[in-house]
Amino acid sequence: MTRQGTWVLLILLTWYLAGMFRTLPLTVLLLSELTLFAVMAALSAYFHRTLDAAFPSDAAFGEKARDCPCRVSLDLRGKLPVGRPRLTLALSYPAQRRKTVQRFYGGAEPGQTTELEFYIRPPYCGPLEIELRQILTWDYLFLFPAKRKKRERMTLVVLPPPRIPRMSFQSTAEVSGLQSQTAVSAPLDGVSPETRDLREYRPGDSARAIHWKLSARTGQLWSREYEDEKEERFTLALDLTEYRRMRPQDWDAFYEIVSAAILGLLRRRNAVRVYWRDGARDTQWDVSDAQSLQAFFLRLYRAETPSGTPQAFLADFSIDTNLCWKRGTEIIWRFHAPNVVRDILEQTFVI
Amino acid sequence: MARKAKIIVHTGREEPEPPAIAHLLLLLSGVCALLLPTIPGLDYSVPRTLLLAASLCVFLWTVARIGWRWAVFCSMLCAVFWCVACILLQEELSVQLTGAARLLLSRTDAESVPFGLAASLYAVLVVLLFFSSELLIGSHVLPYSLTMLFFLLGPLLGVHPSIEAAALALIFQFCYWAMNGSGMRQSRFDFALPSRTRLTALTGAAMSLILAAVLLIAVPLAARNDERLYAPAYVAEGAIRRGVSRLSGAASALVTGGNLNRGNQYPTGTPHLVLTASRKPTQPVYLRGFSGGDYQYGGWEWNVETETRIFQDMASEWRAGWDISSGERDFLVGTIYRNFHEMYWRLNDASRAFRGDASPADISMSVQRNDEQYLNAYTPYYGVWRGGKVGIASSFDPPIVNFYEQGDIAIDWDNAPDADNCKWIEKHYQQHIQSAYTRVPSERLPRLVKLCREHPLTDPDEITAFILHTLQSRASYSLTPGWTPFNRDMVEYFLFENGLGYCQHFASAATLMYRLYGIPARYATGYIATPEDFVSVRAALDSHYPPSEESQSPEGEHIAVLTDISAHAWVEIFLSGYGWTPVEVTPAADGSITPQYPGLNLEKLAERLAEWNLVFPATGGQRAPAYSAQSLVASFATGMSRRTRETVAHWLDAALLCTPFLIAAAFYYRRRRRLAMYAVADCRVSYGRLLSMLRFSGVMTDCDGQEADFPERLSAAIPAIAEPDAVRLYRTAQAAAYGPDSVPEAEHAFARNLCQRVAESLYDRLNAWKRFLFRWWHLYG
Repeated sequence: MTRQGTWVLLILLTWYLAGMFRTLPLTVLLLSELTLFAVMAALSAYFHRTLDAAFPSDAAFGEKARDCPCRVSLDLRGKLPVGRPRLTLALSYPAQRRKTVQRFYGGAEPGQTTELEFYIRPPYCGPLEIELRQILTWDYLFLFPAKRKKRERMTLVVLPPPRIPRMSFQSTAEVSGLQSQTAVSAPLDGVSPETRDLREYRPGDSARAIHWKLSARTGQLWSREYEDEKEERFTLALDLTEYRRMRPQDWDAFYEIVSAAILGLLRRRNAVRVYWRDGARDTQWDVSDAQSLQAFFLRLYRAETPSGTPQAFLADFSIDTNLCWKRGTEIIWRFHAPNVVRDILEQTFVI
Repeated sequence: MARKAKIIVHTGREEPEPPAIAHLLLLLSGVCALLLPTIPGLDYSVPRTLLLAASLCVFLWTVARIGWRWAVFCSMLCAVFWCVACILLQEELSVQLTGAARLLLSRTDAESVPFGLAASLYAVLVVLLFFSSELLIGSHVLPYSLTMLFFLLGPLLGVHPSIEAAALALIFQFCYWAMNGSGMRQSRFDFALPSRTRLTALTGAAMSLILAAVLLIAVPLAARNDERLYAPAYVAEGAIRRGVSRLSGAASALVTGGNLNRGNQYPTGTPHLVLTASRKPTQPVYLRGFSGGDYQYGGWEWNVETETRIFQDMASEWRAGWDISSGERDFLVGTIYRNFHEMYWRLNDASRAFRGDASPADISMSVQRNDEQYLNAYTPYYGVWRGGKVGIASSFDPPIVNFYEQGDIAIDWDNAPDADNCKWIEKHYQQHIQSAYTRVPSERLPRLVKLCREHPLTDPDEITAFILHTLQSRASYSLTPGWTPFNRDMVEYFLFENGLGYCQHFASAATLMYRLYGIPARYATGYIATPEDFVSVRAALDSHYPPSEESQSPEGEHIAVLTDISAHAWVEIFLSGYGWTPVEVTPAADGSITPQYPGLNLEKLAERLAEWNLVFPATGGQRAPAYSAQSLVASFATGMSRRTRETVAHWLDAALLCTPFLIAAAFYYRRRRRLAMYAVADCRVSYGRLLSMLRFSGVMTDCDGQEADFPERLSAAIPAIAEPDAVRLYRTAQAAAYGPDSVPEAEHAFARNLCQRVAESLYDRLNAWKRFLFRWWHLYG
């Protein structure tokens, strides 16, 4: 309104001076200002109709405290180039009350879809929701704003940095309480293991474990599950029962601990099977490498609000939302949120 | 507790791109818009100044194309040179600037002021400011404000930009507004764009097209409907000023003094005077409240000092050689003054009594003011204050004055009492006013002086005829003539530029012209009461109250209520036997001026007016049009009316202004269409284009593409093309032309891609002109 008011004042001033001095150039200026006022109003409506914005993908991966590239695409269907549209982005973690709102100006050529890149440096791990709230288009003289509300969303999956803690594993006798054995050979390292069952393929499964014949017949990937596979992996239960009091920084600490624990355990064995409560049912995910860890976090971030504790209470290890890492019922380490990274990097965890 | 961290969102940095040709063109248009309007009297070469500015623009733009850092460096270097030049040439510069300021503020038009150095430095300053602001900083605020101020406030100083300059300014202002708005410089709130320069140039081009269309509508519309467009401004200003003057009480203030209004006149209809006359006048009654002495800048001085000096001199002459005291001298001055002001009524009254004829008696009239302050009375001509007081009445009672109408004056000098003394007074007064009321500040009125000198006249009637002819041919009556620029003389501006005015303008111009011809004349203001303004008191009362015997007003008593609408200005000239006599020079509603004063031969006047067919430079006194298109239209359209010619000329102007933009738009459209077509062209078309561009660039001109060694030679001529690629293209083209099967799409795409690579390679080898043709005419890349 301020700009329109200023423009109207300018028109009135020009009109007055044109009348008072009876000069043709000022009259031309007056008529041009009047006509442009109308043209710009129409142009603003035109841009509002012809410009659209969206996220090209609904998810992107990034690492905490590092610039994560994201993209938004501007699609201008009209014949005229649009003048500096403004996009409003709102960013938040699930447990975050106040959203971070950022406004950026873009540009698009007529008849083209322009992809614009921006970078997010997330402070915490977790799913960072990015919402494209609004597109604000202007005419060329920035007189008439035209807002369009959008509800485009994408998720930036912010992964914890790969921090591998120092772990001191006790001897087999010492860990006799554990269900799994550390000195069992890998299932696919030459020894022909006995197939226990077939299950759907999960990311992270070895290609050699895929049952190709069955997969070819059914058109779906199937993996073999070996009898001794379970003995070649650790199991880790995540207790999310007290999720309600968790803030983004608490979740961040939790994810850091989970990531560090899994990476540490993977040094010892080939895989870690993680259990957690997703809504009303238990979910498990096998993590064997960095790729499957990424997929695991994506799955974990999309978990529904848990109801109850995971049934896998017999898991080797558990981590709860109080940042307590346990082996069975024995506490390995109780973390404190601000010192999680320091503890992971400096402490030696005796397993 | 963990410290709360922020989510940081930012955009990447993009590589700064060199400015596009659109930036240069718009910069040039802005600079030209500020340099094109010239002030008459400043002696400098406009083309040379424009050339200097354009050269500097092109230089800085070229440097910016090389690198922005170089552009910053060169701009700073130019700024330093500019400062050094100002310091070294300060003496000459200060002389030129002082002369220009004097010319601009006083507007003498007497001589031209050298301005070459100052104009050059001004041009450089404008270029540096505009270039730095628009291209280096990316801010349009300063250039926009400067051009806007220049165009809006220029008329206040009488600088009227041409329509071309206004159009250039419009294009510069709004295109750069759009381009800067679309982000010529990336800020931290801007996404990194693939090609910011291209986008801003596209925005500028789109805005130029819109402006061209707008100008195409606005220019003829403005030329055709100027008065209709001005009217709302006057209505608004009138409403505001009337409201303010009513609220402040200024509307009730009576007309006094000789200050000339430099703006429009908005009477409110507030009653000022109530006249009660013994009978209805048959002629307009001029009630004089002010008589002007010397003409000064902005108005007329009171004539009190002049009159006092005249009567003191007359008193000295009356008793020449006598040794009288100062008291006696003052008494004598008063006596002569009183006798002079009463003598025409007295002489006429005595003559009438002597003749005993039946001519109408004088009119007795009371002049009641709305403020009831009677120290300065409004006096009709040929009158006498009842009780012998002249101009000094009781401050409580309305003064009553007896006066004769102009047509009833017939003095019998032979039989009038005290005629010799009266003749002596009149004769000596005439001698004194010959020098006192013929003074004109010639240096302020060069064009008026020139006009009168070019038409030497001696006969008073011919002089009056010429004055009327000048006023009628050069000016029209309007209460809304607009503002007179602050540095212009009102009369000169009225007669030679604006051509519109009201009574103050007409009376001032006529007074000065009379004086220039040596006829003593004064500018007078007051009120005019026409016979129609008077209504019978009895009739008015009878219509409201039943007549009674006690309260019956005299038979012929008439009353007139004068408002500020009746405020008026006129000329008064001195006529023997009449004294100061009003001369009406303000046109009537039909535009005609019919002066009435004794001795004026109206038939002769009409003959002289018909006989003279003087051609003035600007018909109607309107501002001389400076548009070349008008003269062009005038040369072939002699049968058209002036208005139609002007409109056609303005259309032509607008069309000429829009032509470059339309041509540019057509080129742009053609390029887009062709490039879109080439983007899906098959390999034979691409091969043909490749051959064509090779020939255009002077490479392998002896080849027709059929030679077996063509791929090898192509690869040798264009190192960017590997020989296998050239062979593949050659074979694809051969297969497409002569092969039995169709060529796969991938091969077509390969041919297009190769063709594009060749175009890029060739483009770098060409000179600027060939590059332009290569890119915009042949559309090779």
